[in-house]
Amino acid sequence: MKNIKIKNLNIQYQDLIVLQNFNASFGKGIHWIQGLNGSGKSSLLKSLCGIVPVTNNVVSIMGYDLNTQAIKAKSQLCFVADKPEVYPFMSGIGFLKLLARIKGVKLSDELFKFMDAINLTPYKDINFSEMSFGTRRKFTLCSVFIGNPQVILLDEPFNGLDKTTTELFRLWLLKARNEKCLLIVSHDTHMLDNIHKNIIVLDD
Amino acid sequence: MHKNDLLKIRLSWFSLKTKQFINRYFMGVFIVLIFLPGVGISENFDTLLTAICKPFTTLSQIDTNFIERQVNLNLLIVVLMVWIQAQKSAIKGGKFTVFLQSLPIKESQKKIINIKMLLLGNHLLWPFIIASYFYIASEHHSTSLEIIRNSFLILLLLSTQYVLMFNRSAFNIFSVVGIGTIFTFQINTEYELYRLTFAFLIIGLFIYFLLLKELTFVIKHPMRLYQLFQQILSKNLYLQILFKSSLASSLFRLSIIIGLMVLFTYACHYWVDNNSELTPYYLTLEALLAYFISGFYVSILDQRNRMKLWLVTLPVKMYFWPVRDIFVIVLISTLMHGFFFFWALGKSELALLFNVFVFHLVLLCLCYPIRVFVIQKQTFITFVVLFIITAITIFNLP
Repeated sequence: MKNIKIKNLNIQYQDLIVLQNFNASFGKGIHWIQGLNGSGKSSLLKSLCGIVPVTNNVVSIMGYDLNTQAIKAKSQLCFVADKPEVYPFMSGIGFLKLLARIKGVKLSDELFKFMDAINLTPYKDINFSEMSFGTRRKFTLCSVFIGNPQVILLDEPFNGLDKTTTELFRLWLLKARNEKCLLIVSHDTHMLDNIHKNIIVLDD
Repeated sequence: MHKNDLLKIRLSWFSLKTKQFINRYFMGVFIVLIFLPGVGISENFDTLLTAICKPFTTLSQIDTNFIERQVNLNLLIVVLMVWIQAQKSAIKGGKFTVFLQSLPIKESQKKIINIKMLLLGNHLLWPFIIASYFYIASEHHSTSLEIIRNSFLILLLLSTQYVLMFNRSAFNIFSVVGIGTIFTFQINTEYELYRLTFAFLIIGLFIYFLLLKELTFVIKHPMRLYQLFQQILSKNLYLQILFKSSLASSLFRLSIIIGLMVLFTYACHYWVDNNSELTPYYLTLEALLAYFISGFYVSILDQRNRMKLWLVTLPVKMYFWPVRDIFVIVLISTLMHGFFFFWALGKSELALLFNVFVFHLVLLCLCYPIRVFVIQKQTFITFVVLFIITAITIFNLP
């Protein structure tokens, strides 16, 4: 079974057609989406997680229709946006706990280990308004460890990360690709060098 | 479990944004003080305060007749509705709610939280609605039809707000309630006319907000004018920053609000014989103007502050930008105020316009550094400082 199935997806903003009759399916592994600025990469990810609305029977996640079976579909996925838009008064750990409660799970040991490894633990009680961009990115990236999502959508995941975090996250991607479907939008071509991946190029 | 969490974070966001809004409201009050609505420029401060409190005092007086009371209630409700609409981002939940779309949360839960936030966001409005509702019910031995009408009116108000804030596809709810409201009105008495005016005002506001985005888009793209404007902009960084901010939409919003309030004021002219009774309406007009001009003022400065670090790296002389800011704001506010001042009072003395201009200039020169360096901290103390400066200036002007 394919983790993501897309059938005749259309994305349009006012008069601008971003994607037209887009068809694709993605299984386990790393799928790297490439394209020029404005070609619809981020919009594609947003349509796969319900931020950009789609009609019935266009997107299915793990066999669940994103529109009619939204709760089941969204329980299986995790979306990490390119810009971490989190309420300024929320603490790092507060943000992660909220996600865990929404998904009905507890924070895993794997998450805490990763937080330790990337030196995020000292910042867990600090509010997002007081964090640097990189720290905010790290916390939003940590959401991939919540609820064992089978589909992970990453929009420019390496932006703003330090060298250690980038390497550790790259190693995690290598490990996760065997059991999860990872859709990545990234302009950092060297980050995914020497990794077997499926490349999708979006044309104008 | 997470239902409460979601409501809690939305409430925290509402509280945070409201604190920021208060600063803007204070700025609006400050500019109202500058405008001195409906009275001569050198009239004393007591007159102004009396005018500001007019709707409240009219409502509280025993000898006020029913129509006056009804008009003043409607006036306050409309003003508060505009105010609440301005707090849209606080009620809607900001950009984080976009991210929440990707999480497994039931649509019904989201809607319930939205409705709770809307009801909470209306906290300023509820006392007036309830007062209006019970007043009509008690004073006029309401029939069941009247109670249905009033309920429809409140539902219309809430559904309008819901449609405006959360979901335009909920237009059907609005249409049904709106049509229901209008059909239950029988225009037999004068006060029915006032209520009908109020209903139409709500509908007017709805249409305004519905069309705002599209019309602003059209306004920005009439081809030739747009190209010419772009050419001028491309040559001047100052104008780029000024006009690439929310100026275009602010001015458009302003003009629509003015249009609505002019209609409202004409309606009042028609129904109220004594012109002195119109002061609260001019005050409303001026308050709305003040609110939007202050928003414009704030948006220029916010834009500037956001770009400040980048701007200093450019080979641009910025020494005179504050002077230009003041000039632009003074020009716009003076033109607007001049128009309404003369229109309201029927005076056409050029000297008076000059007087208004100088008055604005002095006050804005005084408040600009305070606005730039102090108000950014958004403290109550800064408002007090502005208030004192305004009061002193008003008392000392000839």
